[in-house]
Amino acid sequence: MSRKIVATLFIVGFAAVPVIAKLLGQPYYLTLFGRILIYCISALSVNLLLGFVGLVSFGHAMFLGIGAYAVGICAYYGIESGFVQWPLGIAAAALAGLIVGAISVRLTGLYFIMITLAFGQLFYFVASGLTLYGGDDGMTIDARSGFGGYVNLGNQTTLYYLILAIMLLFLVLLHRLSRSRLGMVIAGIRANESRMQALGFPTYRYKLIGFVISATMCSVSGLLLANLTDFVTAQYMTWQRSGEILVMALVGGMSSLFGPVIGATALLLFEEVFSAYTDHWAVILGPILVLIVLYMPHGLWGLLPDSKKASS
Amino acid sequence: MKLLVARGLTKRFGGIVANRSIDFDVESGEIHAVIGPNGAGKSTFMAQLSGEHLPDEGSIVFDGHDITRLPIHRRAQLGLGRCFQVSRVFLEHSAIENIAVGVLARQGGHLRAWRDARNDAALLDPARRILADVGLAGREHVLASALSHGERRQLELAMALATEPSLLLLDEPMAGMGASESRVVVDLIAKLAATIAVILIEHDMEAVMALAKRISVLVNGQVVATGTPSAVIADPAVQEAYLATDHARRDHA
Repeated sequence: MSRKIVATLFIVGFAAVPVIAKLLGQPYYLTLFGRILIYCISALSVNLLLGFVGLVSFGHAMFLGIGAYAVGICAYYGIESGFVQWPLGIAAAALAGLIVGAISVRLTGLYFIMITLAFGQLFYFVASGLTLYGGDDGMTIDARSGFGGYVNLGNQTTLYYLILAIMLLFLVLLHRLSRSRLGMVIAGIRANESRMQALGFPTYRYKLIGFVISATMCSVSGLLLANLTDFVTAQYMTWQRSGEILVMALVGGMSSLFGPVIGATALLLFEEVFSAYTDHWAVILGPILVLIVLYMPHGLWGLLPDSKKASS
Repeated sequence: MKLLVARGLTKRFGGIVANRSIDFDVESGEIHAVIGPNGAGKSTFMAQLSGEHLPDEGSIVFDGHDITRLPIHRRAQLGLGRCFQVSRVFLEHSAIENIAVGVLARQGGHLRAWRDARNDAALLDPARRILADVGLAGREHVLASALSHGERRQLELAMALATEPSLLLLDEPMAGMGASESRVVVDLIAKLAATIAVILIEHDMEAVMALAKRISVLVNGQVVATGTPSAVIADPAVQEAYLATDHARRDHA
């Protein structure tokens, strides 16, 4: 099966989930696949840094958390309008991304990983210290983001399709970005930063732009997660979660646009299926991940035949 | 007109003085070669001009701008192009795409994140012209990884040319080339010199003698002579320096 067919099947499959859930009388599937799609968005955003810019961020859960807390904290104060919550969450994440990025993208390799991890931990500890908003125990959100009378997220199917639509929108945006002038500059920086500097590109600036876009995208997954779970907790921001998002992108295939979607879906379904049999499902997953990273540099996506390899 | 003027450039690494008070200049449209034995400080000198190393002392003025402490990309934007000793082309991309990145550097519009750049005639047309100029016509869709060593050097040159530099730093452009490949690049550089000034670091003396209008000789981090090729070769200080280091090397071995 070629890549195009697989990607199409995935998208058609996601679109069909509400129908299938209804037919099978399993409304839980909506929540499960809604969650999968949300992590697809997180994985896509972290892969913008990992696969496009060539930076390993180990702190992206902080941006997911910022989005989730924007919904939670606003709701706590009775501000339930999504027209307020969402721009606020996105702006906060962009600002945090700008500050964290401005410090981090000066560094490369291991140092970049460590500084993003440190910032991630900083945000996590701040969130868990916010006992007013539940801290580590979390806080229930009484009402989902309201969008006037236009969209009612209280309806699980509506929320699910909104999540799917946003995921698809991000796929389109990333596709366009990868073929644009900005995408050319970013690909050049990943391939050879010193060459790009010698050509006259201020590479620091472009890496920072990539970081901010990625942070902003990731915060949207947080906005959606808070709505899907009706809950926000500091646990959304742990370094383990940052790691999981990274692994999703890695397993799916970081050198591709669609890989992170495959990775997020595969990992979360694996967890769903095997955790029903044993609490130690991670023991099975671990070795599989090691093998994938060792022997499949382009991830699961790389296993599929590329119909246009000759031309690309 | 003097395009580049370096005065008193000094660079130390710990206790070692790699460049000692170098005075150096380049006229517009001139090929100025820098030669010297291994370890004379040629690469350090080049790195100071390009901005990879900032000098400990001295100043560099390029085209009327004091660039002594400017970052690499600012120097490039002012028209200081550079080719690397080891070709740094983008191996996974085709020849034309490589050059298009250079064109892009000159054109700007880098924040455009939506419009397709891969079929953008504004990038590809100039790129195609430069591709033909460096002698790679017909190779535009070949991946850089599939090009021969010599062709990659041509491509490296093309990328730098795409940024429309007024001065080009060439670090051993003939390194590792066969005689025929070498000839192609020598001819190419000679052709460039009609419009672009060149600083040429090269071990191939035949190429240097054929191309350079002036030669500076660097020994132990110092310029011991500057002048026309014939004057420099005849300079007793140069002969002594080269012989001395040769002796030293032989004694060492």
